[in-house]
Amino acid sequence: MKHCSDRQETLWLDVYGELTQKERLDWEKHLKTCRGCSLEREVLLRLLENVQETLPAASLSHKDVKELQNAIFGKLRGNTDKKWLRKPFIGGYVKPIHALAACCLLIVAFGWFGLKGLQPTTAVRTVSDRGVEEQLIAKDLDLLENLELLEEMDTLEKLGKVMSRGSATI
Amino acid sequence: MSEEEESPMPMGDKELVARARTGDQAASEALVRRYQERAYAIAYNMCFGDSEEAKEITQEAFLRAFRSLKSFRGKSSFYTWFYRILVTTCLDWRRRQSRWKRIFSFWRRDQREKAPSKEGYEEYSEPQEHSNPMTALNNKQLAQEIRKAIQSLPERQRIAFQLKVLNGMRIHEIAQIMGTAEGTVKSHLFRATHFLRDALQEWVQP
Repeated sequence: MKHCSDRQETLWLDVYGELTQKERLDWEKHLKTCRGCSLEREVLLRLLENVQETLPAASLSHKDVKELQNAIFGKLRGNTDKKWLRKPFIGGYVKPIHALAACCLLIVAFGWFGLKGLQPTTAVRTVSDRGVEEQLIAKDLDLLENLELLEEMDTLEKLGKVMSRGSATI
Repeated sequence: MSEEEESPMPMGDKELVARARTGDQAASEALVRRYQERAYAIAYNMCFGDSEEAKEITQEAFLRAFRSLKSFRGKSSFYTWFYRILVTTCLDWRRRQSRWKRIFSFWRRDQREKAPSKEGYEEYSEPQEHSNPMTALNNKQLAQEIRKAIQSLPERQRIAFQLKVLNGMRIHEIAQIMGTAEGTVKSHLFRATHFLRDALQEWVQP
């Protein structure tokens, strides 16, 4: 026998104990006259009863209660000890990860500028300040710049030789 | 005997919460004592009867609640606010677990071949032994069917059903805990009941 489909919601609310007093009175009147609904109600009540029997409410043993409390209280106390970490600091909160990141940045910055930028610098650099390679490059540049002059000097030298040879033959 | 039991008039949740917000350790501890049993029962059902996991979840939920106590505005009662945190913690926990399970699924396959892993609800006690072996066998089978059916419910339907049937909460409380409308909770409940009724039809017919 089928139950009344228009009373489905009321049936479920009744099984879950969620009907108001007035709704309950109306529903009980209906149940007296409708066999289908009362059978379906029995089925659903049996279903919920079986579920509750199969999965009974869990409870903690006295030892478990103590252990759980100690774990929670211990962590809560730990939190209050570190309350300074949760005080506002420059518009935010200090967190260990932030502090670590800041330390890493400082190390990198000091490593970079400490080796390069923070060395004492002088405005006038002498030749002796330069490294060997720099000195060699400077010499090569000198040669290239005065190449023409050197060529001229070479020509003059040759001319001098010719002249001296000529005067000797005369 | 605890402090709460010693005092003639136990403090209300509101007062305890107000004190805990100011850093009163005793008030926080009283709140833990008041709700830990029920919180554990909810967590236990939600993680399919794994007692160790349920204890971890209960602990984490309390810590989360106390950390965010300042954001509690008192619009709802403390316990619905706290159970909401508990349910969220359970769901986070399960998601995290399934993620890890997926990552280590390859390794676990090997393990499973060697020794079959524990299924859900493994710690629930078996139904009462009967003098009639046929009845005992039937009860055992029914219990297995019920567990299987509940596990196969969609997550939100399962939560609504468990909170209602196993933890005896009212629909409006479940709605607050799940952060949905009462109508949605009713719909979840009815669908879950319908599904279970169909799945266990042969067991519950008169």
